[in-house]
Amino acid sequence: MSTIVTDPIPEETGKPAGQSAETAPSWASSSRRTANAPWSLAPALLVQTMLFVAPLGIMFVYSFWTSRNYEIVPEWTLANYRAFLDSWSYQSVLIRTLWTSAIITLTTLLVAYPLTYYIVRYTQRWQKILIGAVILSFWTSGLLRAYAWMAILGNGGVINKGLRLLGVIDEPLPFLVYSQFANILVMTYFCLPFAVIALYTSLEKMDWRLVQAAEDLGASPSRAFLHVTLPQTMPGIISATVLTFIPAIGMFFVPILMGDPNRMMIAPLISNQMEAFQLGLGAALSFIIAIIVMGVIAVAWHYVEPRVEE
Amino acid sequence: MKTHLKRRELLKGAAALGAATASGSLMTPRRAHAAGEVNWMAWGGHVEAEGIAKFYDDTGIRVNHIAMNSNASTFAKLKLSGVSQYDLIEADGLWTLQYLDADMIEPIDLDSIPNVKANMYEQFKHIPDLVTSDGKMLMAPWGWNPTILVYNEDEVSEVPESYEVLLDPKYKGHVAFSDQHEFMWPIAAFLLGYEDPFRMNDSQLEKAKEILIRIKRNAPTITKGWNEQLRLFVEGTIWIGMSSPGRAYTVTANGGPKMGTNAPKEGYYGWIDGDMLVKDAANREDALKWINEIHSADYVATNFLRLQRGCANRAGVEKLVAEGHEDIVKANFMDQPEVAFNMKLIRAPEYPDKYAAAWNDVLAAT
Repeated sequence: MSTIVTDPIPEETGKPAGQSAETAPSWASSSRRTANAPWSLAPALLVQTMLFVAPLGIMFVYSFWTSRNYEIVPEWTLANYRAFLDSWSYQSVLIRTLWTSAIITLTTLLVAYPLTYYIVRYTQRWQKILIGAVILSFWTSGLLRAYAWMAILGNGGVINKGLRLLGVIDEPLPFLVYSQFANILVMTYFCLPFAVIALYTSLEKMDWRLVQAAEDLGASPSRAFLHVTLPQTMPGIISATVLTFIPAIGMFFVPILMGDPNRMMIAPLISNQMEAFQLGLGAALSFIIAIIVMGVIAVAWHYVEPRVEE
Repeated sequence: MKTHLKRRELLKGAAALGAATASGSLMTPRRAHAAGEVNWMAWGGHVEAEGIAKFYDDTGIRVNHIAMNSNASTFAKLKLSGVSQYDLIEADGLWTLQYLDADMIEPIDLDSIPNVKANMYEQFKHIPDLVTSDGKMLMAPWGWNPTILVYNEDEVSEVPESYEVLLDPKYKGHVAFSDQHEFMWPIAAFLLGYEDPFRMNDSQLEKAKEILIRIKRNAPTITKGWNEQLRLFVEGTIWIGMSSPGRAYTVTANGGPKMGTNAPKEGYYGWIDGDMLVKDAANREDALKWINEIHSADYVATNFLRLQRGCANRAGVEKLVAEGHEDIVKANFMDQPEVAFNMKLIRAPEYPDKYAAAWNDVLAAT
């Protein structure tokens, strides 16, 4: 069974990795840490409270209220959650969203891993530039990028026009746009930079001499990959999974622009409820999603947090 | 000489920069209402930037345009936030009654506004349900459109005469389905023979839902707004849908196929939009001056040449004809205001929460 090692084992025995007292910086000395700890956490706690806890709390409260004739009725009720549990439509939308997000995560990993592996392993000089090129897409509006895909995949887009000009097809290919295929393809594209960044961190830190050692001991390249590289980069894979799955659940303009209208995802549905002033139901659905997301993060954290064998 | 920036110094500098930026924004509080400003919540298509600039040059009054989308979402937002920060708000047809019931607007004496008095078609000064007992109007009407069947003449061989065509399986993947449910409920109600699409009871709403789900299954996508429908009509993805004669004309004008239009035998709905005066508006007089400005022949002609729809302003229409745009005027029935009064007007549903829940079910259905 392989062990995930995040710090090199120190030469001196008897000391846990990373906790050598004589090499600790002076600002981390215990007496100073005790005096400053509460105050030093205050800025981080304030930001977390304002940007995470408070909005989540407001959403949670709203999920127990309802709307009537465009007015919020602040009476505590489980009606919104009951509406979700009573409606197979809403449940099927949620299940479909989770399933589609899982597929998107898998396709993203299948593209991102080889790409990042190649960049780290074989492009020493151009590594930073290639990673920068992947991240460059963040600098453009997501909506513009989605419309760019429309220009490629649409019935009047580059692919269909080109194939019709070549005489390969008479009618536009129906699956290229307004389909699950388009949804998954474009969302994979959007999630790719997140996965590449997470995998890059892991692959870049890896000790490649271990791979060399495995090959010297007779392992084939594929065996070395399966038994050395893959386990070593598992934290990166798990991080990439989380960083892909969570945005995929919440993505709403790609399914609206390019998705199958008969296979709605949860985010457009919530958006529609907010526009229709069904704030309580929208908040309840949002909170259900938030619980699922936090569950995913908790599971990932369990596997990513470094464990040290005693 | 190399200078090494220590991390602590960098963090201090960043904090100082952040504080300076934040304090700068705090010291210049947003003024919701300043003298010589009009806060105008309107559909983006009604805005002529040059008209606003000219108005400022002529009067010194700055018009701040705040974009809006659907009637329902705008009304919902304003109910939550209040209307005190606006002077003028736009709405369709009988949605103005919602604003009146919520005590958000006050009637306008249209004849006290010179350009409206001189330029508006008389019919639009007295729209039933929108005129008060003392002859004032709940809004200053701007444009109008009937929502009828529009179709690609190359792909739809027979002239469609009924909403049934939207359910026809031979048009699967080529039917327009809009996210604006206030235009979709009437289709279902007409097909089911219900009198009022906005007053359906639970049982009627269930049946109407089924109709809309069937139409959605015939659609390639759910379009958000006319511009997306325009693109899909032009590229030939959508062959048939509900829109206005003027928009059918626009499809062809934008390089699309030749389009036909037909009023369904079951009847049709439409809209008349306009500007409402916010009750106790902070800049009431300036707001009325802006209404006067947008009802000048110049502003109307410029706007309607671009947007192409029915027009409530006779002088603007005459200017378009004089400038050689009679084809656009005819295509949009701009010189036939009586057409606007053959249609029923869209309105807010009686039970918006039930309709919202029903619409959610339509969207979520497979």
